[in-house]
Amino acid sequence: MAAYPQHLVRHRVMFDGTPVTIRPIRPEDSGMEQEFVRHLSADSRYFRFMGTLRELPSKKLKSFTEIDYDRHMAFVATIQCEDREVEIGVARYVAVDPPGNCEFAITVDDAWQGKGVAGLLMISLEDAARERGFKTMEGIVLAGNHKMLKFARQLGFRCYHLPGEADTVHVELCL
Amino acid sequence: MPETRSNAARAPVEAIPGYPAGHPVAPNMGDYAAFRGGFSWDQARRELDGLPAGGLNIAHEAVDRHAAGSRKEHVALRWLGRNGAVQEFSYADLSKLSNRFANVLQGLGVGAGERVYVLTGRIPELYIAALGAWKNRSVVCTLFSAFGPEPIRARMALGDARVLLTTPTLYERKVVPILNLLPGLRHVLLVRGPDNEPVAAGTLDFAELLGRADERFSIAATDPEEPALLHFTSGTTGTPKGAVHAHEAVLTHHATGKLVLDLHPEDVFWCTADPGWVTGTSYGIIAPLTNGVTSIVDEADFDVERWCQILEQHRVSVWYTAPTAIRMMMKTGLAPLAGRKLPALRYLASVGEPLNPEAVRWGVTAFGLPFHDNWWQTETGGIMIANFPALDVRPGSMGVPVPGIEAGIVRHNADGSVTQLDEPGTEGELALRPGWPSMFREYLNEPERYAKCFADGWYLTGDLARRDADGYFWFVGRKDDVIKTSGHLIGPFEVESVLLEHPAVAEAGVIGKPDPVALEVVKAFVALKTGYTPSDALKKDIMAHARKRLGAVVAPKEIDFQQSLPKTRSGKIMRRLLKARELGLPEGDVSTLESM
Repeated sequence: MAAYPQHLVRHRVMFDGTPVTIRPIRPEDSGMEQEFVRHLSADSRYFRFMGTLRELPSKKLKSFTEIDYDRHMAFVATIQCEDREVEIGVARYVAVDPPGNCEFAITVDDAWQGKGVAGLLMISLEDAARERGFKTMEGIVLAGNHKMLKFARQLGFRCYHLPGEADTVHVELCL
Repeated sequence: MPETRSNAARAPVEAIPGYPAGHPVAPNMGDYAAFRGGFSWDQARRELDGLPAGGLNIAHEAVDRHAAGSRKEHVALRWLGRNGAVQEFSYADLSKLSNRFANVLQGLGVGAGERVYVLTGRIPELYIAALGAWKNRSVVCTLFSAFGPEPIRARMALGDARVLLTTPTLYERKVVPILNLLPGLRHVLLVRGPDNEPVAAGTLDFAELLGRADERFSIAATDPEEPALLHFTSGTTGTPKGAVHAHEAVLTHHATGKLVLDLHPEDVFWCTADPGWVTGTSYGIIAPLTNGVTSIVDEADFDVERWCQILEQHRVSVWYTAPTAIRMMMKTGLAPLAGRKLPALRYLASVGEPLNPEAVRWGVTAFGLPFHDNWWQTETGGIMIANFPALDVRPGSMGVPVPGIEAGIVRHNADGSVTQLDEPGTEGELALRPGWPSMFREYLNEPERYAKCFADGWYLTGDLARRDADGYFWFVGRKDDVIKTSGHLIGPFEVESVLLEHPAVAEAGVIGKPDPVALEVVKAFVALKTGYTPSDALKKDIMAHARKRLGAVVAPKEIDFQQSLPKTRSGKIMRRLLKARELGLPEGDVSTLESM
C-alpha cells in the first residue's frame, strides 16, 4: 500500500467561512464514502455515475478508497459534525490512455453545493495531477448536467460532443 | 458544440406541393411570406372574443362564444365509443355540461389555481371536465391512462392534485395503491361504466354530481396569465418536469389551428393523439373548438381498419396524427384503403417525432396527399415550425416557423452565452425567441430548471437541428439522453429506478434502441446481484415488475443481462457503449474503460 501523502492535506474555508478539510482518501474512509454516496440526491447520483444505483458495490468501494495516490488519486472534502468527520464531496482522477491523460470525476453533496467546495477539490486534484506528470485531464458529463458544464467551463475545460453522441459532453483541460 | 456543415446546401431539394391544386376550399394562409410579414399576436388576439367579464378564458373562446352565436347547434364533438356507440355534442351541449362541471367544482370548494387531474381514456367526460375546470379557473392536468402507479403518483404529487377524475377500473388498479402518498388529494370523481356499479367508498359519482349541478355559470374575470394547463414531460433525471401554460396560450392554439392545420368552419377534424399528451389537449381539445369545427374523438386504440373506416364514414377533412401510426399503416399496406373513397380528406399533418421522407411520400400514394410534418414541444404549448399548405412540403423537414415565431440555430460558448449561427446547413441547437402566447410560464416549483432553458434572449429547445438555405429546418437529434418512443419522451432515470427496486437487480442501464415503427424502444441492460442467475423466468419477472410499476408505455420492451455494465475508470456508466453494442457499431475509443 502506498504511503499516505500527508503533505496534501489542506484546511480551507468555504465561501461563507465554514471550515472544510481537503485531503486524499484513505482505505479507512470506506464507511464515510459509502454514506456520502447514499446521501446524495438521486439526481446527483445519476449525474455522477450516469446510471442509476443506490450505493457502491463493495468491490467498487474498495477500489475507490484503496488507491496508489499516483495513477489513481482522490480527494475528499470533509467537515466536522459533532465528533465525526463527514464527507461532503469527492473528486478523483484515474490514469487512462494515452499516457499523460487522466479521467476525472467530482461530486459534492447537494446541501453543500454552491459554497466553493468543488473549486477547492479541483485545485487539489489538478495540482496533484500536474505534479505526477499528467498533461491532460478529461471527463464525461451528461448534457443535462448544466451545473457541472458551467463549472467545467469556468475552470477552463474545453467542452465538445463526439459525433453521434448528443447526450454526453466531453470535457478536457490542459494541465 | 462543434459546428458541422451539410455539404448539400444548394443541391436540388425534394419538394411536394403543400396543397391539392385547384381545391374548392382555399387554404387560410395563401402567401406565407406576406402573411408572416403582417402578422402579430395582437392581431391574433383580435380574432378571439376576450372574456365578457374581463381578460381571457380558454373555455369561453372554445365553447361559450360559439354556443352564444350561430354555431350553437353545430356538432363540436362526435365521440366514437369503442363498442360502436356514437355520441354527439353541440357547442350548446358542451357549454351547458361544462357549466355544470364548473358548478360541481365550486360546490366541492375547488378554486382558481387548484389542480384538477383527469386520468381516463378518451371519453366525453374528459372534455367536459377540462372545459368546466377552465371555466372555474382551475388548472387542468391530463394523464395518459396507460401510465402505471409510480408515474401517476409522481405527477400527482409534483402537481399537488386536489381533484382526480377517473374510472372505477383505473382507480382500483392505479390510484388506490398510492392514495396514502397523495395527502393533498381531496376529491376523487368516478365515471361509472355501463355496468352502473356504485362507486367505491370515499369517491364521488361524476354523473350524479353533474346531474344535480346548475346549468348556468358565469366565468369570472380571468387574467390571461393565470395558469390553465399543467403538462408533464420527461427529463434526463428523476422527476418529470411540469410545464405550466396560461390561458393566453389559446392565442397560439387558435392561430395554429387556422394557419397550420388549415381549419375551416365546415371541417371534420380528427386528432388521434390522446389528451394525456400535450398534442391531445392543444389540438385534440382546444384548437378545433376555438375554430368552431367538428372534432372526432375515438375511444378505441389504434387499428388500421378502424381508422380507415373512420376517415371514410365520418368524412374527415383534416387529419392530425403521429409518425408511429403512419409507419404502422405503411407496414400493413394499402389493402385497408382499397375500395374506400375519401373525397372529403383535404389535409394531413403529423407530429411527435420527425416524419421520415418515405412516410411523407406514402401519404401521396395512399391518400393523394402528403403528410405535413410539424415540430413543437410540451414547453412550447403549440406548433412552432411546420410545413404549410401554401408552401412545398420538404419530406424529412420540420418546415418553417409559424407566423409570430422566430427560430434560429445557436451555438453554446465557453462562457455560457449563445451565438446564433447564420450559415445555412450548420448544425446547432434549435432556439426560439421567447414570449409567444403559448410559451410555458414555468416548470412547476422548479425555477432553476426553468431558467436554464433560456440564455441570451433565446429559449433553448434541447433539440439539435439545421436550417437550409431556404429557411426550412431539419431535425438532427435530441441533446440529452431522453428516449423518444412512439412519440413519447422517457427519461432513462425513471425506468432505471424502478428496475433497481427488483431484488435481483444490482445495476440497470436503459437506452433507446432504434425501431422502425416506434423510432426507439426502451431497452434495459441489467447486472444481477450475487446469488442471482440470468434466466428467462427472471427476465419475465423483472419485465412484469417494470410494467406493473411504470405502465406498458414506459416499461422496457427488452432486457439483456450483463455481468456488469461498461464503465469508465471513474465509475461512470458508458451508455454509448451499450448503444454501440446494441447496434453492432464499432465501439470507438475504449481506452477509458475500466478493466472489468
